[in-house]
Amino acid sequence: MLIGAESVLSALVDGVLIGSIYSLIAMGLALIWGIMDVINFAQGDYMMLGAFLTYWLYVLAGIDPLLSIPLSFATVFVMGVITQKAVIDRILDAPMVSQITATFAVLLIIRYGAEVVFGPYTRRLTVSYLSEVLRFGPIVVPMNRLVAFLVSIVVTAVLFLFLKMTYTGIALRAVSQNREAAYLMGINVSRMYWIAFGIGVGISAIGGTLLATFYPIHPEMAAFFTLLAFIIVVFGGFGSVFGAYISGIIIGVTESVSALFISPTLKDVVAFLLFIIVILVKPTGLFGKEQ
Amino acid sequence: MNLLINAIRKNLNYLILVSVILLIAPAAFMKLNLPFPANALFLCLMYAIMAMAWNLLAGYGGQLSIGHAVFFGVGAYTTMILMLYYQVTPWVGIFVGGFVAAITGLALGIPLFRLRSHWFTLATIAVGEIFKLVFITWEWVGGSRGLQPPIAKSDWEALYFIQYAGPYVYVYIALGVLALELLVLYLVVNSKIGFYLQAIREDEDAAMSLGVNPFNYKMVAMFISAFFTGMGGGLYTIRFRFVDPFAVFDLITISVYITVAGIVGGIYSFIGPVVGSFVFVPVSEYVRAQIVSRFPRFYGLHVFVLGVLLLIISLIAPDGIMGWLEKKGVVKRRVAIPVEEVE
Amino acid sequence: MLLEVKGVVKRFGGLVAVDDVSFDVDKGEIVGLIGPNGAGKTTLFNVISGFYKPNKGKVIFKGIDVTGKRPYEMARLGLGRTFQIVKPLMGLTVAENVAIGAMIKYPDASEALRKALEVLEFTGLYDKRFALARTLNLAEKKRLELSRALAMEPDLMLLDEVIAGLNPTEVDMVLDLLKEVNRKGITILMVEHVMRAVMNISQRIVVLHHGQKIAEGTPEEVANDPKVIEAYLGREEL
Repeated sequence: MLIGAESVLSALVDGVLIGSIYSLIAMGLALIWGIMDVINFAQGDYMMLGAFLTYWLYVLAGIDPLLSIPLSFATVFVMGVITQKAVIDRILDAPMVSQITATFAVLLIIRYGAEVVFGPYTRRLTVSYLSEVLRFGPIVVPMNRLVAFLVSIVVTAVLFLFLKMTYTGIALRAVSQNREAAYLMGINVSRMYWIAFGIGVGISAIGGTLLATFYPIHPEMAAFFTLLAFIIVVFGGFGSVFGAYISGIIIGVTESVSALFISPTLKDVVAFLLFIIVILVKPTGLFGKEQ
Repeated sequence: MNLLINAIRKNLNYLILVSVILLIAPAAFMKLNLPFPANALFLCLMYAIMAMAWNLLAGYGGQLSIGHAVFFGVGAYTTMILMLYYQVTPWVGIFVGGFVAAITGLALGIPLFRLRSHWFTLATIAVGEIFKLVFITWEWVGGSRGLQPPIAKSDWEALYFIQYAGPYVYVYIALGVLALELLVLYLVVNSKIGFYLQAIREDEDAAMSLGVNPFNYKMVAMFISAFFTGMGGGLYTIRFRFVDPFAVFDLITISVYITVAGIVGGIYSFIGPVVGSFVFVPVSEYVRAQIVSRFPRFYGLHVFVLGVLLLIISLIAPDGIMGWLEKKGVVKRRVAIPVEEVE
Repeated sequence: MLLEVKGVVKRFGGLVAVDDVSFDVDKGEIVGLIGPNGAGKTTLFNVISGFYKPNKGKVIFKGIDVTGKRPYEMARLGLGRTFQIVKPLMGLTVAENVAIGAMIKYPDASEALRKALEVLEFTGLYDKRFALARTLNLAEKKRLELSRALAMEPDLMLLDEVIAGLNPTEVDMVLDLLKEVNRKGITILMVEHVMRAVMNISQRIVVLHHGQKIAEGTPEEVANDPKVIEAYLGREEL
């Protein structure tokens, strides 16, 4: 099989664009993990909720997907806070096995709850102006992906400013560095936890909203994205939010380029293998500090 | 051995009662032509076998796998392939299936046991998906179409390939496997291996300071755990006479079901996973067969119910039904006591 | 010589936690390893017991070079230890905890259990034998760790602050116990920063400060050493 330079270039661009969405899902995971030391198995399922929300808002109320971004974030933020208060808060000091099974149960409840409510169907969201295609010489760029990429940059920048500039953001970082010290300094740690969990899943929901503009929407769509998010977080360094952004794009590019050379089914196998190899070889990731 | 004899002597009445019920039930179901409860009983036993095996690794060793479908699938495929391609009787094939699964477990253990807690769990999920995808693309084992055994043409062949109508015969075979497993596991968990595994679960550093090599003992647990899970796969093959990668490597109906059965019953109790399987499998099967199959629009309801169950148990009774009964004083917590102190 | 520590260096990134420390422990001795907080005592223990690999230097135990051996290998060679932050096996009973220690010499579970009960009678925890480890108080947890290490029938015991945090009566009980253990022929190397207790019981004392050995000798020699006094002055009571 001969693969031309143009298709490789297209795959590169495509990888960057899709990778930026992976990054959004992964950044939420990294944020929650960095601050709370909890691994949220259901991360991708909050993304799926964002995608469905966007779909129904468009279908039922004609709300443009781009306008539904804040709604998607806010709704899923609230759901995240509820999850945090009802579940995560109770297992923070529980034995490891209970921590894992409780977050895994949340995954099952959201994923299959959505399936019962929405039905086991695949839906597509087509918005005319987002379906257009831009051409830059030989490279074809779908409008929806370009928009997704730009939004992901804005979201990342906002998150960056929030964590660096606001009191809450600085307090969040303090908690992630040292829970006890932050508590002694008068930071309300349990408040930081629900904020972190809310923001973490909210960001993933934005990823879901963007994904909905070009990806089939299905209640079980999260399975693959959650795994990817884990790969990205590990690759980017445990708990490093901006490491997650960069490594999301790297993974996106790797995936779209390898799809050119390998069959689509085996492409997934490559992703899973990559995950295992990365956690074995580089347990602190590319951008993470030594633990 | 002494401990085993003592335990049997102490619980003799219950053991006889349960054995008699379990031995009579399938025959009674057959006489009354009740395939549904007999099939439910078979599934309870099949999951009990696997949840018990899983619990050696998860409950005793603290290594929570959500990827045991790998061993189930390998056991199921091995039994099937031996039967189909080599005319090996499943009476042998089930054991070979367990053994191949156990070897698979050892091979996977080498990388996986370098990971701790969540990462181990995540990696087991990923390995399960890898196996499914590989078997889908692997033509020799039938790819995504799966495999079916030869059809028995005589009474002799029916015995050789274990092909009988209805679930009744298979219930007895599953009972035999479970009895064998309970015997082996009882001896294992009451030996040095069982105690060392619990030490690893509680604190790996402390365990090492007491002379325990965590990797070696996790591998021993993995071998035994994968072996009996693989035998569970073999039972599936003979009972349903069809294996395909989607069914036998399924994350939810195999890996997660096993986990939930263990957690519901209580992972810190020897018999907990059996109790969990007998409580949870009928509920889930009922929802699946009665509601989900009739109203495909509500596909996923059985998994949703399972998620709610798992969450409630994790939050309210993390030690499962058996742990809860211990707390209420209905059953006594098993603690190690020297033989001479047992009256 | 039972234990020889030769020029051990352990670095964490840029921080030198143990800097070229050498000393010996003879069979049958009780040796105290003291120093102000952050002197590198626990790090040195972790190097000796195999939890850390030293960057430089050697550890020789019973004449064998054991540098870089894993903790469970050290345990099998006859080294028992306790932890500064106690690590009982919380979900198991006291008897089970101690039996797991005994299994290194008595692989049969019921024999190990019998041995465990013997040890518990000796250490005074017999009445608590069927209690879960997590229900014990700190003093009992420390005694449990000691019992667990004793059940291994080790040649050398490394005790990491088994006295810290105990009240005076409990301290005396533990010291009596340790003397008894020592009389049975078990060599003891103990880290402590409560100096008074160590002075009482040790035949010899090694003093660490900022990762370096600054003094070694009998308790009197060490107590009167100007370098030791300076290291402790204004930090800890002597």
